[in-house]
Amino acid sequence: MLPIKRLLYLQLYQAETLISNSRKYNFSDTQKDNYLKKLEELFKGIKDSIERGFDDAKIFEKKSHLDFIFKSIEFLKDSTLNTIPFEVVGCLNKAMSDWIDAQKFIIVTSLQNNLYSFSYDLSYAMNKNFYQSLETEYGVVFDQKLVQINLPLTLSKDYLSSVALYHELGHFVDLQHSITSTLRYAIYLKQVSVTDVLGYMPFLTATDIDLLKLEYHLGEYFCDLFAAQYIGETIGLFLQYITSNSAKDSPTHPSTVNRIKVISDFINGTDNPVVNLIQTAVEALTGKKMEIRYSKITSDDFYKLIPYEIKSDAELHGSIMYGWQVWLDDVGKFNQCMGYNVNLTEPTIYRVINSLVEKSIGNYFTIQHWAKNKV
Amino acid sequence: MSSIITSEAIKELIKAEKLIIRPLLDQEQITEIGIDFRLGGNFLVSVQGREPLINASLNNEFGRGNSRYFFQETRRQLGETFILHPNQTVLATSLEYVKLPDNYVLVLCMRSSYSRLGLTMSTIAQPGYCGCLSVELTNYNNNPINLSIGARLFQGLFYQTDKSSKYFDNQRKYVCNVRPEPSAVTNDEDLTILTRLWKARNHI
Repeated sequence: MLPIKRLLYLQLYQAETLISNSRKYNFSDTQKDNYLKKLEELFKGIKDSIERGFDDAKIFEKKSHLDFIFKSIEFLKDSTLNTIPFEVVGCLNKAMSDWIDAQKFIIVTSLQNNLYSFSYDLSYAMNKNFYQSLETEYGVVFDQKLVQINLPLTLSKDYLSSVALYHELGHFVDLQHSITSTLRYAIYLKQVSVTDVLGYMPFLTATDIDLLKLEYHLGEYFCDLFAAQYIGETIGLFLQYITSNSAKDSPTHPSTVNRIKVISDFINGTDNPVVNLIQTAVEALTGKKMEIRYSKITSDDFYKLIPYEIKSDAELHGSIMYGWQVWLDDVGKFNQCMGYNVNLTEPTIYRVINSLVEKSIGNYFTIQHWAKNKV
Repeated sequence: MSSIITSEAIKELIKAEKLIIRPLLDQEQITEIGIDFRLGGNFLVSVQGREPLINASLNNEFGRGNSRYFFQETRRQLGETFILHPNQTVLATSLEYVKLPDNYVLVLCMRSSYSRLGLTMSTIAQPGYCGCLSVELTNYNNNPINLSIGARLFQGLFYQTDKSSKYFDNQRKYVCNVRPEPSAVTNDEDLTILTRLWKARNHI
């Protein structure tokens, strides 16, 4: 047997162990249970096909199918009710359903041992051919697909940092509607003038446009705007901090300074060529408009150390902004609103804000579920 | 003299926003003599730790034994269930977040229907307390008991105090918690004194 084939067998048995261990996961979510069952079905199909014997030319195809099982379980493992940032995912689901049929997707998270490692895993989101090959080879159909978001383990219960997840969800929505890939070609084919946006993407002046860089940069601007619809300037604020407000761009990201300007102009309704460029593409491809979808909360509730009673989806997203607002505010406001000196230390304030955001969001969903089921 | 307040007074306190209960899913939770509270979905389940014991003292002859090592976090959604095994203790919270007036103590008891199953608990919240109510549940029945998250397990009785007090005038170990917190008993200043005393007497 080819040594490389022995390695395929090795991975097969590794996957078998993984599948066996995964049966202990408790998701409190039938959709994830069903997805896991599909993975088991797929594994059985792969195993049977390998044991029946197959053409050596198909080794790497089989490997890619096993890789899919590994990657899916990696995300499901970190998406049990105990591990997933449940309340934030509830908010993201609401945002996702504004743009696509959320019933077809399940948001899952993978917790990374790396601070600021917020990212979107592109592995399988849009690979229709891949899912088709699973159906053809093994007869397994995945009715729902995973929206795979990576986030740092240490910040998985930090509601202030969760603003970055809205940006990552933007990547998924972008892929689903092919927004930046379409816009990239429109620019490349000179169907769209870029004269106005050169200040934001100076590399477009080159004779040979770096298409990959163009797509990356358009993607980042889109995701910033996507997030800003729901959580306003907080996405810019967080960005400024984690990128040290860099004035330089990179092959994958525009300069932070430019990103902040685009976000700020969008929120303030100031004319901006990047916003206009992306807005036009979004409207053409989705039939929807990027707009402010949050409602700013003006309340003293958090300062009075009580959760806020969220009244709408717009306020749901606004509650995370509200948490930021309180964190940035003068700590003296707690004393003022409580009517006496409560002596909260900074670490306590941090914990209190997180608790109050979590409870405000949780209560909103609790009340909705209760009302829906109370006859 | 302190007394238990009844439904009309409770409703008045809520209306005046002196007593905050969020969420109050059903007005019927306000009973003649108090408020029924619901079981929340966050738990700290007691498990066997590596340390030989939970050390509720600062004396270290048996090791540190921080209580955190003996509890494991788990969550449930509203409507799901949690199985409490015989003689098992779990830390839970009320579903409701509470902020008490400065002149009321809240005493939380098990509702009779659940006491009859062999469940016990004991919780007192001081005037001005804010947070979900922390509950230590133990099953003294010989059989496991399956509990619904969101069920009305507890009844809260409000006692008026003879004078107001400000909750944060004293250092507080538990502030605005929405999930159960392990015991912070070793933060008690008395324990520092007692350990110092023990060391001095034993020439340690």
